[in-house]
Amino acid sequence: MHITRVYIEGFKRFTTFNLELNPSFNVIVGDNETGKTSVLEAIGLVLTGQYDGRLIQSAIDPYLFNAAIVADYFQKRQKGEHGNPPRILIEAYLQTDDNNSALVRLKGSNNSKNEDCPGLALTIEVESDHIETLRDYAADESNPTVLPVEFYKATWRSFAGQGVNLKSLPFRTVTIDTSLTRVYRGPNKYVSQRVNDVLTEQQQRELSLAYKKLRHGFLQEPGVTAINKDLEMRGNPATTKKLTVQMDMSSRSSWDSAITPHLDDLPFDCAGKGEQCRVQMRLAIAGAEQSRVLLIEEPENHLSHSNLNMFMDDIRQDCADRQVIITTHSAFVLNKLGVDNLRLISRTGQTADLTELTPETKNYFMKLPGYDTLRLILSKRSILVEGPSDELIVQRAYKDKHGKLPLADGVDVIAVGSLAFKRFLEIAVLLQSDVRVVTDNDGSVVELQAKYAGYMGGEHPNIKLCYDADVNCRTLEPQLLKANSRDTLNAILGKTYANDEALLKYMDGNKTDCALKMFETARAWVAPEYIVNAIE
Amino acid sequence: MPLSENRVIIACAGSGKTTRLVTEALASRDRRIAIVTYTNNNTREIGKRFGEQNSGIPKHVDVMTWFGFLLRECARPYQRSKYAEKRIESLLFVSQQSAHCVQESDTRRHYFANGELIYSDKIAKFVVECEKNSLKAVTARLGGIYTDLFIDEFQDLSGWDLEVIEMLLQSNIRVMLVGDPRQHIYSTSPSQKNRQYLGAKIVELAQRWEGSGLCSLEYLSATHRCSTAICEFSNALWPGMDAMASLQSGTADHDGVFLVAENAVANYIQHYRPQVLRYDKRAKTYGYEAVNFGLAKGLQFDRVLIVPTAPIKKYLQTGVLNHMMRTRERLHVAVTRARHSVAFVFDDHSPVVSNRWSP
Repeated sequence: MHITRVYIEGFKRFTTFNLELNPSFNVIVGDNETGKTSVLEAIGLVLTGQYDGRLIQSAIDPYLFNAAIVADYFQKRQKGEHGNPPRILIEAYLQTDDNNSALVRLKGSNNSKNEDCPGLALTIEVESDHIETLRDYAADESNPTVLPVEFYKATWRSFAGQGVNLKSLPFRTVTIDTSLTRVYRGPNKYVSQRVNDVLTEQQQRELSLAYKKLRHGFLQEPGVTAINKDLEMRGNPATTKKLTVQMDMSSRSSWDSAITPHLDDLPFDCAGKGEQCRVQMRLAIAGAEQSRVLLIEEPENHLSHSNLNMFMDDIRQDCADRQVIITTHSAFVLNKLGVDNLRLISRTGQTADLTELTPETKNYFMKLPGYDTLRLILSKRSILVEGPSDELIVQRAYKDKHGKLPLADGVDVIAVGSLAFKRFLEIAVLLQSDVRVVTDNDGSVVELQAKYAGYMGGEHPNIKLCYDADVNCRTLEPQLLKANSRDTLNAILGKTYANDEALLKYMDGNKTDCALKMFETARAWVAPEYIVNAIE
Repeated sequence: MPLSENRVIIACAGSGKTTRLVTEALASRDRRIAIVTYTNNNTREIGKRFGEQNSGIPKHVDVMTWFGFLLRECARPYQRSKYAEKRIESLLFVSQQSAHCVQESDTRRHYFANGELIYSDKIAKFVVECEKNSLKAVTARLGGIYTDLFIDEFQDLSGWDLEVIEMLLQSNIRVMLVGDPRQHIYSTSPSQKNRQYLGAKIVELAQRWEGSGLCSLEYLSATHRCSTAICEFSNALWPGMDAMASLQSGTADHDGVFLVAENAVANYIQHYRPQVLRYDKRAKTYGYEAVNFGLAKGLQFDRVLIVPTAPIKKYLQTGVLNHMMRTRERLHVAVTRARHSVAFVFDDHSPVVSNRWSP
């Protein structure tokens, strides 16, 4: 079982939003404020009927609704116009599997696309009895413009139009909480719940029974019997009834509120965070009989790099047959799970993906997860350069020309090395992102042109290759010397080389030092033309 | 033509059809079965039998009422193919034809009250339309959930419901229809559709289905409940239908069908403690607790005392069936409630009942 598509209307940042999903890994990436967290919340909500650990009906709050839609409604009403009351709709379209009768029960065409497939729809809308109350409330300017959610109800139904409940669903949804910031009263309810998910019904019954027996045994303890006798003897002025102390026997499975998991005899909560996360993960993917959807939010926020590495390896190895939806800011996480699993959300709520990436490029980033693919993916415009010295020169040249550093204009200068240029370009083509490549000619324009065939002839207007055709100046340093006099460079570098060869030799041997001095100097210098082309 | 796996079973009163349904469901653990019944009473009765035979309804079986089945499993999933304005919230039960002035093309008003309550006489028609509009998605979905559909009390289905049955018979789900046309009392719909198959005539429809290879027809004519004399009296009501045969071997004291004079009723009741059965509450019951014919369906008693209506009296007097075309099914139900004896409060002579009880 997996979700093929999520459709969201009126929830948090989204007026309408559509997200197609892979059967296995999905890495949701977007700038801050694009709604990555909201997507995960929406998916959790429609798959479990719960929000923030509570049934949605009791967790409806005004901030779940899209602010713009709500504001628009109030505005219209206060001007005396009519408009549809704000509502939230979240739909999860599931993959059709006619051999799974539990899944077929969820099948029907009661969804906004009229598509015949299994699925779940969660709606939060004003109760029909209260439509007019809300209408009048919103028209009254003396009322606060906060949606009165007490008039709202949540319905959770399958695409067959039937109400559903968590137990009847043929899959589980597990949110892995790497922050572990929730405040728990008593034992870790969350982890107990995960343990509960793994146990078979029989085991759960046995645990529950053993716990009941234990509590019953408590009352048989001589000490406790004596206390109860004493209480009875003393009597109680407030009542004629017998007063005793008893264990609470009411709840059927309350073992989970008293029993807590231990790791190596250490209570779960006392273990390290990395360990806790990995255990949660293990628990979440155990129990192969049930299909599962895993939701993970920004694991990089709360794990050290080495823990993150182990965590990501666990996911990659053990969850290949589950659907994993993960949000991240980290290129490392993205590269580890495969850049082709990217689901990019833009500020305008559009989505893009990299499913058409060639296997070579996909493998390249997976093997070298340190590359900052996300910077390219998220920036408005990027300038790719070969190394740190090129980066410094481009930064300074940009500042000289535009009066500020490129990042201030949303232009990211990324040093990726010439070997990775083509990999990054492949991504840029799919995402239509604006990219300039600043490259050395390395002594052969013919070879260069052969290497970047397909990118140079204007096939991709968003991509521009910048290089100098002068094969006598193979790299950055001779290019700098060509554009500036030896005296200028000597002065900037604080040297007094008498000929070009000696100066170039020094520069070649101290690339980064030289670039840093060029970056920092107060003196003016001229950027080589191919670099100027890149920063226009 | 391959022999259809669908079955229509005409089962007489006391033949153990409910037991058979439950036993068959329990024996088929590798299948997924929906048992659909017409009345809530019968749904409870089936639940009770599962309780007795299995300590509850097993996982592979769902028990539901006919209207619940139509609403939840047939109409709602693909309602948008016919009506997308609002969700069908529930049913509105009607005893007469609903919205009969509204054109079919006005879907909202033809099928719905308030745009969201579907009329009970039209829901089956709606389902047939959904199946057509969705290119058979309704039965495809059902086939993905259930392998077998057992429909009990099918004699009470009428109108468009029978079209739904035909639709199911043509699907890849194995259908078993069980019922006794002689016990047709309630009707799912007052619709004009399929009027010709109402009541006992439903057998003709089953025969037509068999003829076109949609099902095979079986008869369960042996009754564990009623004595030979009671069977004979009942069989006389249904010339041309397969005759009931009693499986009772022993005889009890006061076995058979009797006439009791009005002035002997008190004495008779004191003597045999029969259950008094009446057509409805207008009948005179001499101060004794009585059960309506219709409500007695599904129940059984050792002895019954029937307070006849005018048409029944006419029949007892003349032996001519035409006098009670519309009460015949009810009389049949009343008579076949009894294991040992049936008595009529009747003063005159009768060509159909020769025994007269006197104190």
